[in-house]
Amino acid sequence: MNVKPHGIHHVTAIASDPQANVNFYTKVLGLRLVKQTVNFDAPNVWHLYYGDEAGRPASILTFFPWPGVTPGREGAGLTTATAFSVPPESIGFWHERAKRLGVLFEAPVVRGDSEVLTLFDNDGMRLELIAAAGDQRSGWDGVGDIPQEMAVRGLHTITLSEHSLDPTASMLTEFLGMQLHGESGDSASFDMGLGGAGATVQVQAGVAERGLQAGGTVHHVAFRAPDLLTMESWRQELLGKGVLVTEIMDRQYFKSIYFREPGGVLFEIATDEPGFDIDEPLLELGRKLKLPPWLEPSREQIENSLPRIEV
Amino acid sequence: MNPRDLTRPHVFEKKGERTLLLLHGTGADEHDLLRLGAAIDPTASLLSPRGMVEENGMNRFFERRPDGSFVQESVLQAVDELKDFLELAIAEYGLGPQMYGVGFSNGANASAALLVMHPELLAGSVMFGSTKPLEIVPKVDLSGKRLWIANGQNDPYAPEATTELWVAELRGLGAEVSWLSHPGGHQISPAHMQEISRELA
Repeated sequence: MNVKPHGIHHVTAIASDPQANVNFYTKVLGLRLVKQTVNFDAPNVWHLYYGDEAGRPASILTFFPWPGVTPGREGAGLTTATAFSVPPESIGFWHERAKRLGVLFEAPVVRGDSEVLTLFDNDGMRLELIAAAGDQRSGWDGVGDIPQEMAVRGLHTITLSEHSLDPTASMLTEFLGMQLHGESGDSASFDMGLGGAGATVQVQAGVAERGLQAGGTVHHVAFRAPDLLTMESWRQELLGKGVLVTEIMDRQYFKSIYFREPGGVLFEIATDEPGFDIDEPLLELGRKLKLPPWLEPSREQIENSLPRIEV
Repeated sequence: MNPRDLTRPHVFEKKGERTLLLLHGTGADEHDLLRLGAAIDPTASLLSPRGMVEENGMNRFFERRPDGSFVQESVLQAVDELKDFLELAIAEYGLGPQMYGVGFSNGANASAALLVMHPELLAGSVMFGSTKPLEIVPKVDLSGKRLWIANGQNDPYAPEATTELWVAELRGLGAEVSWLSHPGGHQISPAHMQEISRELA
């Protein structure tokens, strides 16, 4: 069995107001807006990508803002927490920052050997900051009031909420090559490759109520494939095991396939290539609306139908 | 700016022997189809003129009435101007004999009209979001011409019933026509773009 993603590629969630979303993720959390584009399946909706300075895989959180969207509700069948890796000793800084900027949070706790601060974005989506030792990544140094040594480095863990553990755990270990790292009561964690920051999936089982996928919830989670050839062979393997996998879709910055895990969470596998500098230089990332070749001919129509945002 | 000569705003990118004549939609300009052209055939030279009719500040190739119908004299004039422009461009840029029109919306309609009125100029035409542009179609021989008509099923500018008759008419004139459909509206489907790209390769 060869399907073995080596980490989280990105997380995609649903927001409500695009401007509030930009303000939170660039100014409060200090991520870089690395791409302004549209939902390719619904081009009157923004698709905003946030990440580290180059938009590297495992640093990316993306949003589809639908103004006026119904607020969602956490529950079984959804990814209910997206955790970022922050430097050890920085939780105090982030705690103070949350208080000062009026961000909803839960008091820091210790989980295992890391301090964790839970924050909620402007749509109520749960984010965690995990103070992780040994994460060599450096994040985005573009925000004046966030010192480089406190900056978010990238994604750490995603948490799935489920009624039952086993069906999901089977898919993660038997179909996606993950290793069970530890179990405790109703929850279990799984490593991709060496695990750790950017390569951990947590499953919280025993969740009774199903979630409502709407505003402030995660739409899908993507895992990494090193390249297109590998992803093509993984797709064949998953099909051979009876998984309903989509065709390979060209998302411009990566290629993707999608399928659901047994508890209902939408999974994606996305290629590490080509990356966000395929249509604009690294220095200019996220400054202008970018469109794929098949939507460029409709640019004027699309620009007129998108809500204005200021970055 | 004369629409009939090389002072007509246009972009030319020299690459291979084949040329794609890129014709944009309403409100766009000579830059909007360049990436599409390169995606469809990365080896082809690209020639992209601007539409020279103005509708509320938006560029178009020919006039339409408020009800959406096309002013036929304007279509014929546009085609005649493009013919003069192309003859000069072919000479000036040393273009090879194989040119395909590639258009979106108004540009696709202009490409179809050009192909029908001057079949000697184009080897074929790729038309996204298009409809039949001419009320009177001359009895030309389109054998050997390769056409792709790629529309959304819910495109208000490309009613299916009209497309069905138009495709039949073009085939009746000898053209080889592929009619591709997607479930969306007035947009280009990436799957269609890829399929056409494969067939043109």
